[in-house]
Amino acid sequence: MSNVTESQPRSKAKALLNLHSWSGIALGMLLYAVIFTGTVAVVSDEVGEWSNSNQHQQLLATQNVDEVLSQLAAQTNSDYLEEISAYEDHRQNLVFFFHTHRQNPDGVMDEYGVQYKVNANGNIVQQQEGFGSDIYAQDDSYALSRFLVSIHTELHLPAPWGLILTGMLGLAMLIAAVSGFMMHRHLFTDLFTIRKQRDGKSLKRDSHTVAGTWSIPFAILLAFTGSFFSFATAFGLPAMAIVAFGGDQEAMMHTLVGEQQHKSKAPQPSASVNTMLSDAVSRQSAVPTFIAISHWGTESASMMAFFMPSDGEVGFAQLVYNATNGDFVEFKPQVGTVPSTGSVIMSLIYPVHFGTFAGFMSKIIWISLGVASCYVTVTGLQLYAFRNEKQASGWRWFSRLCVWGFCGLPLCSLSSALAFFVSGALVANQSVWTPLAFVLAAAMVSILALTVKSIVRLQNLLLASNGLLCLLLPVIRYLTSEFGWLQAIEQGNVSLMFIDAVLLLCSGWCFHRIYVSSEAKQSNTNDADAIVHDESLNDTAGVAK
Amino acid sequence: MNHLIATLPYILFSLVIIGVLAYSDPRRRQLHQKVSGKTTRAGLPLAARKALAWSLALPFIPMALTGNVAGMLMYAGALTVIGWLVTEIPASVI
Repeated sequence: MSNVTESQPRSKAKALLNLHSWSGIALGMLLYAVIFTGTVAVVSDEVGEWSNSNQHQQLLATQNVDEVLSQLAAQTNSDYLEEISAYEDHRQNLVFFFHTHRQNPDGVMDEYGVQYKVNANGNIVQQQEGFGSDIYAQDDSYALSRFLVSIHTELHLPAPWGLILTGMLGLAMLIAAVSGFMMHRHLFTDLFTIRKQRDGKSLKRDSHTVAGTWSIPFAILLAFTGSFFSFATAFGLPAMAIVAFGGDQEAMMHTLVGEQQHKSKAPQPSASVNTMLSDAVSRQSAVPTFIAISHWGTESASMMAFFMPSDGEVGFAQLVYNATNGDFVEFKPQVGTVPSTGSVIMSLIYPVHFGTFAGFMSKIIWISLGVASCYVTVTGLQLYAFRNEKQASGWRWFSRLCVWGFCGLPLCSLSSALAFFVSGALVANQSVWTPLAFVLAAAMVSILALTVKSIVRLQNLLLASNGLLCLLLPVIRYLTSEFGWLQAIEQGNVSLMFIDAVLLLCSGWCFHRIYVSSEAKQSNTNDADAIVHDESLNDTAGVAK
Repeated sequence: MNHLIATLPYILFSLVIIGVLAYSDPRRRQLHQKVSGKTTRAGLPLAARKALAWSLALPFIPMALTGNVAGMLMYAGALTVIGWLVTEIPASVI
């Protein structure tokens, strides 16, 4: 009887271990790709600033937006005055997108209109007409940050498959975190213990367990919010449109966003945008990230100013103004027209997932959480590879796969950054060369993974390449922009210095790993020599006897 | 920026407490003794360790009272990262 009661928890633990292992192994490499690029996505704005050697000039607060807007509106097709969005890009231009809404060739409702980029002197430097998604996809200033974020959100797979896959990866991470939590019997007693092996290396199992245990609450939080993003866009909203709005996505968006469907188009001069902007700035003590003006020049005109979370808050803020008289109307909820719990939760999900709620400090903490999650994935897969390799040499391919993925992905990402700078310097299309360099680097890494026989040599080769690129990128950035650290310090450009410093730190870590690896190899060789020497001495002694 | 400054002392507090918890951890001490052969470290009673562990939740009270939700979230994240990083330091050091 006691055997039966003992075997029950044992079989439960085994089932949990299987669930934990397979959820990690089946999707582990893709999960690593999503977590790694997610860690980069936390600082996507900073990467954008760094890649353009730029710092935001808060042009929405310092420029005469009203005058520029009026000039542009006068030369724009009146159909596109339905909505105007304005924000500052990474090249010190104000971007105005006058647009209406149409179905794009993929059958998805999209913004369609004309985009103007206006420099600090008020001159139009670029003008483009088309769908919003196409214009944004060809915007070179965002080429690098957009590419890296897109790997995180949809792995560059066509919609909706990329979102579905990343949603499933989020669920796999959730399953791995919960099953890992449930199956570990000594969770709190082992919280501070990492045992060492005979050669002094940390025990892989302990490294995996400790990092996993500490980061469990945030692994669950980030996996849940990530899955929510993916499934809400891929499934949730279309399903809601079908069920509640008879398939009318536009009506659904009007309900969710909280706008009236039918607005008066009777002409009426609009109030000064500058006045509304200065009021919004004084209310939030910050400059809006972007503004959206609806039905400009009509009696239904309104303006919405969007702010990142303010002091002590976690959610975004949206201020709505009546653009006919410039009066402040309300702090608009994220969803619907009246404040609700659902709206509060919705407004929290993005900042909590990306750590964008308290400026640079929260981002640094979120990057560290991302690194911890990457570490858990890496050690988990390495542990599986190590155990199976010991049992059957046929599993060596898995160790090779781990090296290919863990060292290859950062190398490909760094290569895309290199291509961004080089293509920019050669006045080539950065939006094309950035992803292309990633694919070329991935092909090179794959060839190396297939041809280099020794896994250690392969790992060191990829680490050296990573280290070299990390070292080169700040230099190339400086050479292509002529914007150095002295100027960055003068202007208080923290983003630029932060990314440069992180790259140099990563470079140092890569070369340190190679050094440690070569030392370990040397020590193993010495041990083997000592054993051979001892054996030969024994043999000589035996012969002498 | 004020809420960031308000959170920083709590993060430093958690660093100290986690450091003490790691230093007085019985298994870590056992491991250190096994490797170095020395019995130099003084342990803490279990009740004291539990009290120290619970004290990590204390900063949530002033932050909740001042409505510093961002600070609470940041503190929780920092706690996680500090815990992991301190544990990664070899037992011979802490």
